[in-house]
Amino acid sequence: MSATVKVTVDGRTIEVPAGTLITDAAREAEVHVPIFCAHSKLPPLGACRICVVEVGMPKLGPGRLPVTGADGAPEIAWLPKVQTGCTTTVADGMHVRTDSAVAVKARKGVMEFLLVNHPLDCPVCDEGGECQLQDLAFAFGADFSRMADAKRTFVSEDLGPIVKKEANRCIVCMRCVRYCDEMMGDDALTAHQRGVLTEISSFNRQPLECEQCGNCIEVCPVGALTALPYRFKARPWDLRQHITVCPYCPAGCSVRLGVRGMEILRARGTEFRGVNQEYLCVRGRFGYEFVSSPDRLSSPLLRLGGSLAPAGFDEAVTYAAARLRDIAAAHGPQAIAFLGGDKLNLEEQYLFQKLARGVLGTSNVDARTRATARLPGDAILRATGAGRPSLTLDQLSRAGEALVLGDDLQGEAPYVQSLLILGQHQNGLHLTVAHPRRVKLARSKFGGEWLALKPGSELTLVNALTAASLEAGVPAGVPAEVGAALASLASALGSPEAGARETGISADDLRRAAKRLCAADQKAIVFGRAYTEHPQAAALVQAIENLGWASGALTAKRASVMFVGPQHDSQGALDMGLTPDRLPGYVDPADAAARRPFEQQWGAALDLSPGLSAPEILEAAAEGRVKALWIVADEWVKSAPDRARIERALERCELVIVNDLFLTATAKRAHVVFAAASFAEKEGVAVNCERRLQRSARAISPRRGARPDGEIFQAVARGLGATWSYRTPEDVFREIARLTPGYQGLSWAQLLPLGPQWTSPAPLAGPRIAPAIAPAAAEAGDGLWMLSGGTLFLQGSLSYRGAQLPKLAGEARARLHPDQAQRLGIGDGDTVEIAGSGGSVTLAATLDDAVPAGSVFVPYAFRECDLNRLGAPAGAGLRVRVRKTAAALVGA
Amino acid sequence: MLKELGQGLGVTLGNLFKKPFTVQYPEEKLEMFPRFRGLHILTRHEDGLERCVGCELCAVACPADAIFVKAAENDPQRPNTHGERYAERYEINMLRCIFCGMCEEACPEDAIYLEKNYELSDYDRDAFIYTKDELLVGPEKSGYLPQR
Ligand code: SF4
Ligand code: SF4
Ligand code: SF4
Ligand code: SF4
Ligand code: SF4
Ligand code: FES
Repeated sequence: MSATVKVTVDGRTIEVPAGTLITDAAREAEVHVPIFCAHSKLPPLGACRICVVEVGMPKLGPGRLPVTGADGAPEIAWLPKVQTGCTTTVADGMHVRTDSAVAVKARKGVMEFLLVNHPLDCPVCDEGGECQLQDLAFAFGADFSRMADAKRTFVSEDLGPIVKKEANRCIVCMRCVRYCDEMMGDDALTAHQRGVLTEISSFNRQPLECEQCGNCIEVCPVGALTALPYRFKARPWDLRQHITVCPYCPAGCSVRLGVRGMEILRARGTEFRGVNQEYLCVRGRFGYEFVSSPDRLSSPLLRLGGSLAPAGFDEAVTYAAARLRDIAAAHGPQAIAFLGGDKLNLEEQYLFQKLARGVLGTSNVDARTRATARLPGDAILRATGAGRPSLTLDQLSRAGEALVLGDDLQGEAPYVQSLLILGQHQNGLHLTVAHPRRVKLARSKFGGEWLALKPGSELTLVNALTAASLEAGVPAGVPAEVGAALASLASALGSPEAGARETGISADDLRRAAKRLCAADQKAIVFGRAYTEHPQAAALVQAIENLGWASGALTAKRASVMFVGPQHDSQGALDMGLTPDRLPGYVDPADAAARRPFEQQWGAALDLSPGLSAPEILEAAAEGRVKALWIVADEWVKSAPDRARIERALERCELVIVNDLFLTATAKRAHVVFAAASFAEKEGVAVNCERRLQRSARAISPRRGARPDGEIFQAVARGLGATWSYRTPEDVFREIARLTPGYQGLSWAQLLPLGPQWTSPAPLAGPRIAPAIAPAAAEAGDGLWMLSGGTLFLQGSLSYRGAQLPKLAGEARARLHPDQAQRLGIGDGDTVEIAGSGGSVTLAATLDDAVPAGSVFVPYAFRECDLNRLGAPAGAGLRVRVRKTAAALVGA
Repeated sequence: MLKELGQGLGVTLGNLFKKPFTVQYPEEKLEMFPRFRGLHILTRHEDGLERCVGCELCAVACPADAIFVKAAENDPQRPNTHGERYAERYEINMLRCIFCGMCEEACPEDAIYLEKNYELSDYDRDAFIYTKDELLVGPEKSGYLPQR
């Protein structure tokens, strides 16, 4: 919006964009106008009236000229009644008074009304001390009550395991109801009755059926909604508050941890900071609980003489360094492989690969441990614009059209899902969701288009969308060589009709979807692990790059393709070269000029050959070619594909080092286990899905015996003779910012309060348009398609160590379409056995018509259910057989 | 000169035959004034339930940061207080306390009072952290509130 208007608030004249609300203009003018019901993510409502101000316009005389008073100042015609600032937009020349007798009296009156029925609960109310009503009653209210009659009262309710409702304290601002609707898309709350009897509750007064995010609690300006898990635990002034970055998804929400003594008592959003402000999903809000779990490792463990026994840190470091040196000497450095690391902070990721490449001399480094096929290190970079300025999360919610490819964002990145819902409600965003299941975003209430592709036809779908996009010609704004390549791609791809057969989506629907995407001014393509961990990942990501250029989501200047990685710092792992074929900053080790700064800094000649990717490392270890594994922050045994092969690999390896917080299934098989510090116990940077660098603070000191992973890497590097001497993560970050293309010039101080998105002055990789064809592979066979994906309540092996999340998640279930279940003779709740090429799992079945017939859906991340026992996927996915069993054995 | 001497000795003699006010502590003890501020008590309602609701207002009012309160939710079957909330832990560090009475003034529940007990010596520093069971009056004092 270009037009600006001049307004005067309490005598201060400022210029603001036309259409600004008075409350926002006042904030700009640094005048405090209190609000209750207004909220930056919600449309104006005007329910509470606390924001009333006096509004006037210059008096106009004959000829519509302003009338000036005796003192030469224009005379103001004040409106006879006060106006609500949160619903009134400013006009040019408008005057606003918040401190006049009229405004003060009106506000006092509103305050008195709000308190007519309000209980004097402050001492026992969990909001007390951070309650806006309390604050404003002090600031603007009367110091006595004229209320002589009995107050109306309600009975308090537990709305499920998270939300406690005390309706007596409610000021009926409707924030909770609106937030649940506008952001969460859940419509779980409503107002019963009218007027003074208004009561917020669930529709049927049963426990809330929603995402249990607790955002209603967060936005409630009073203590009407409070969090049951935090009930009476502390008062706000007891808590030290530290802002960290949530470790549960790449949205990278800022989480404000409240710490009393050494214990984290709660997590909240940040109100005015971070990409999320007040928002947190259920994982961000309750997932911190593992930090204070009594099961945490309290010292390193060493396997000497058969079993793991506690050891001192120095002892473990010496042992690990000596064994690594021996193995490198005996079998060459390529017999060592480093796995995992996308849950680490950026600095630790950098050190991890520096240790591998610079100290040990191996390039077998890969963070993508769940991948089932090799994916070039720069594939995702190119698909997301190669360092061109990229979409922000805010822009995502303002896009005209968003195409979500393959992932259920409810599980993978709840905040991204919420932003899309917000965009759909408020900014006219149209959603296209390509997913075999009817995931939340594909529900009809969001007015989008669901491309219900057949499982296994992902590549065909993306190619068909590209073909349909190119039918209208090559988009404007692409570099010349891209234009030419797209033109020849168009002829190679054929018509969308071919794709229609295979995907089960009509050619018309494909064309419409492509047209919407191409036509939208602001657009977004979102993809994630469903494609990067797909057996055809390399072709799929290439196909997404093709589609990006073909639809105009990638242009010479901007990139509107977002990669929502599997972990909160997956983007950082790619950037820091936790891939076997790229150094930090996506530098190709074969490029002598580009790699020189690294060689100089590290004082080592680098191995130029690309190393092994995670699936190749697994294979090599199982065959005995890789002898030593270092697995960091990764429950590899349960999450990498093909359990049988993993077991074989771990048996054959001479040395397995694991860094973890708990004695995980992987750690139990290790020779050296380092006890690591949690996200709350260390400082560092994480890079979120919009490539934003975010610094998180250390909230508490590490658990006794545990150390940040960076310290562990440094100790082992020194044990191997390196002369590393980083004292803080900042030291490491300085080195990163000096060496890494894309990060150059960034400073540690600049990362607060909100870090920048990294971009590169010149693209870090040239565009590559190529036909995306999956290598001919063994057919997946017959049987049902095994669908898996993220789930809301659990993410990763840490999430099930707390109390709330596992309780909310319940037990793992196999979800089947009712028709499919009937054909197999399976009823709701029956125990079924799912058998794949490698083995089977047993669990209870649930009928769910969001799952397509011909497939079975089991989310990953459930502790008791290891899907990799089914074997590795082949072709375009994994096929399984499902049958009812008599045995009631779950998850054996 | 003699006159002055006589005056002086007169004062001495006068005092010699006065009743001495030295108190033979600890055999004898003084009665404290009504508003004396000594060791705290936590009071009870007439029905024996605790008055303190664990709001921590005393703790935040305390200039010496001597009070630690940790609240919890009542078991509705066996409530400690009238409402939902009670103080699960209530501790005062008497080595920090300056007996200013701010806690008493801050308390919205009339739950904490500084009483007349001033005998607060001990051999062990830890003993000066008075816990809830030491501060809470016995059930026989249900309903008792010191008069101020
Ligand atoms: S909502 Fe606020 S004003 Fe009302 S009882 Fe709670 S703290 Fe006091
Ligand atoms: S419960 Fe809270 S957020 Fe909801 S209407 Fe009442 S005061 Fe507003
Ligand atoms: S949306 Fe993602 S980053 Fe935000 S709180 Fe949830 S899991 Fe954490
Ligand atoms: S008397 Fe004063 S110093 Fe002692 S606990 Fe009470 S408020 Fe604190
Ligand atoms: S003594 Fe009074 S002020 Fe202190 S926690 Fe108990 S009720 Fe609150
Ligand atoms: S904040 Fe303006 S009416 Fe509520």
